[in-house]
Amino acid sequence: MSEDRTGVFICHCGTNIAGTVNCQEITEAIGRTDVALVREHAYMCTGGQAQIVSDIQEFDLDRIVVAACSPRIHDETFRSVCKEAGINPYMMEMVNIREQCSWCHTNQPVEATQKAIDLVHMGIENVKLNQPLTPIEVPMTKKAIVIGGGISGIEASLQMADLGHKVILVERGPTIGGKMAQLNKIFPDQNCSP
Amino acid sequence: MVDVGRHPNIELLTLSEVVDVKGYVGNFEVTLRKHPRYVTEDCTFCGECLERCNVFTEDDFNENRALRKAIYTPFLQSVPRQYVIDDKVCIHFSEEACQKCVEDCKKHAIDFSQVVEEETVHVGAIIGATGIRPYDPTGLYGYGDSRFPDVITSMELERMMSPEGPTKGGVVRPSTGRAPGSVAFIQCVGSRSEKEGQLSYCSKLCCPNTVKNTLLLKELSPELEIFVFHNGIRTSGNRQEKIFLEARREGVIFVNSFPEITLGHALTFSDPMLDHDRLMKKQFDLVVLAVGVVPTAVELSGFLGVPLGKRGFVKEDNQLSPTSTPTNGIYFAGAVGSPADIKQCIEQAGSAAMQVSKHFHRDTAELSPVIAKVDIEKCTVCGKCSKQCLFGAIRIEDKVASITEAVCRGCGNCVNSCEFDAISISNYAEEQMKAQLRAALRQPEEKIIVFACHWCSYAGADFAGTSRLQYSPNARIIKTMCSCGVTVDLMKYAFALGAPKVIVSGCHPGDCHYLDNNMFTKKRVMKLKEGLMSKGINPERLMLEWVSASEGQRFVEVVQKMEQLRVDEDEIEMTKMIFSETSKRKSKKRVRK
Repeated sequence: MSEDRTGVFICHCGTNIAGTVNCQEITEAIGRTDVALVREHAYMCTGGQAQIVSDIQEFDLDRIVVAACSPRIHDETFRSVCKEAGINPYMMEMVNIREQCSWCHTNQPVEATQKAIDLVHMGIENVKLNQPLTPIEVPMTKKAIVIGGGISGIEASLQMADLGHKVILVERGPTIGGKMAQLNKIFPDQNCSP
Repeated sequence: MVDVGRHPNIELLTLSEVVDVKGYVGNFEVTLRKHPRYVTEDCTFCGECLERCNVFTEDDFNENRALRKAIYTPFLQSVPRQYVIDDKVCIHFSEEACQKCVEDCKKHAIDFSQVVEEETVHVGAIIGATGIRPYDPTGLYGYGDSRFPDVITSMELERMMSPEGPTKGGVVRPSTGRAPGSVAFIQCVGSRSEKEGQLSYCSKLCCPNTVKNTLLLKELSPELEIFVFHNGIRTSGNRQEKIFLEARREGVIFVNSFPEITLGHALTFSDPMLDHDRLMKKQFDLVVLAVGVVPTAVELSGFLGVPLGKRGFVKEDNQLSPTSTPTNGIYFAGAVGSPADIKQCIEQAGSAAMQVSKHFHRDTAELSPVIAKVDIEKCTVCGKCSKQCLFGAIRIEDKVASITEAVCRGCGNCVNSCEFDAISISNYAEEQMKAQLRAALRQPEEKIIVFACHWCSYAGADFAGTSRLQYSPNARIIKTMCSCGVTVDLMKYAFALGAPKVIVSGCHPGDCHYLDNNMFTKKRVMKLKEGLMSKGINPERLMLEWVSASEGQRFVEVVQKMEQLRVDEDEIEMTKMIFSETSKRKSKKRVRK
């Protein structure tokens, strides 16, 4: 057993993943490696979160791999889970076995399962080399610029200004109003343009 | 509109444009170019200057269907309430050096000494809301042809119907100046068409807008004969269907067919409700083209560095954040992202304003720590990384390369330039990608390694999945922040491990999220392809493809094209040997240091 304590969490996403990929096979294949824990859950992003937190604490995990959907959707979710469990949020890697596996190899469940196992292996090797990181804090200038003085730009500026924020509204033409100002009346209620 | 002019928290800059944006969330530097108005804030809008000015030009606010003067206001409710001088036509700027308006202005509000100025402002967040412009239908249905004077656009009709417009609200035939007895509306002009130069999408506003105008016309003159030629009326949502039904009740005739126009404004059409094959011909006094809408996002995307979808609208970061761009601190609202009606523009403006307010709620912003770091043990201070970095994030000081954390974007372009493996991207280190390659290539037969950038290509692969597009299960995707983070070493390493095929993919040229760093990728891949060829290896085994976030189909095509490529075992073995040798040589070089 290695010194790292990696936990692997495999999401079924209802039937989105488990309907194609044989998750139990992943669990068995990964269970034969030196990871500290492999756990399946029907919905890792919802009910599974609490499970991950308690597993990190109970099994003293120091990094995790979440095999679920795209990291573009849930990276932040599982980073927060790590934080809640007391480990660095960057000691987590997501493995995409939904968009890049079950959904695009729907009619090839055997190959999809084999690919999922490979992807989880890749995730484990990747997370082993992850470093704990801390976000960089930079000062916030509390002033916004809105580019375009049509209805959207006007409304965005007013909303922010009403909340007390300073706004610069930049318009290329000599007046604000944009295309809206050219309209006679607006559908569906035939109101005058605002 | 007036509220903007008098709000103490809003600084309104008209006649101004953004020329450059630098920085990052919380700390953007925006360079503005301010064009002169030549009329100062002392203007009381009395209009005496207007009386004196004798220079006329086409009035773009009225769609060039009227004339205005060189000193003017686009419309009476303009904000700010100040006249403006059009320096393209004003004869003060010619040899005549006309001064008439100056002479008559009692407030001395006219100032011809104003010049173009540039100013840089410091802001924490940006909202792009540059909207849309109407599609130019010149050449369609006789528009723009002097033989068809009574073919106008929907925007021209709007201006005609406006009490402030060129006809003071009266709808007339441009050829005679008299009211029409019959009006035809033609829908989808420029929209929902795959023809060159036209718009493939539904512009969404034209159907309800036409229905609205038919009702207003019927109100003005109940006897008016109105036909609407369409490709399926789209009046979706809560109240739009109601006005469509109302228009039908008022006697507006909707024909599901596109007509042909011939001289005398005669439209030939068939009505599928009656008889598909029977052609009918009818003359109309006025033909209104319901033109589509065109995004104005290209320029915005240029200086904000945010990606566009393939139809030219700003692309949202993901569909659950409809007003966010992929860049933290930059948001957008309204039709610049997709055709949107006024109500939707207002909703999106609220959403974008809320996103910005969330930032302003805190005194600091968090930036991603996924950035470059230097191993000072290995760094030889050669300076190559510093020259490579287009963001200027690497300084050479105190005998070591040093990263300015807030400036580094974490693209990984510097990594390739370091011969000593001293620089890496946190948690996207070359070693980590090599570890992934080893795991992916435990059984390398038939495998396709795909390096995909976080912003575009990886998202494109996601989109392929979301769309349930099927492709070869041999693909193994490795995510990088930018394609420029795929080092030559890494590509060689994949081949050394026996990868039969490698795809490197990133954002399209011009769409890269890190200036034009994907051009470095191109250079590296092309060079390695040459290297492969010189060693007798099929260069097609290494593929460079640009795949955007909206191109799921293209991602699939790229993988399937690679899947078709046959590579025999001997060639794989030979490649393995060649590249295992070069990796050894590189490690010797490191030892020498």
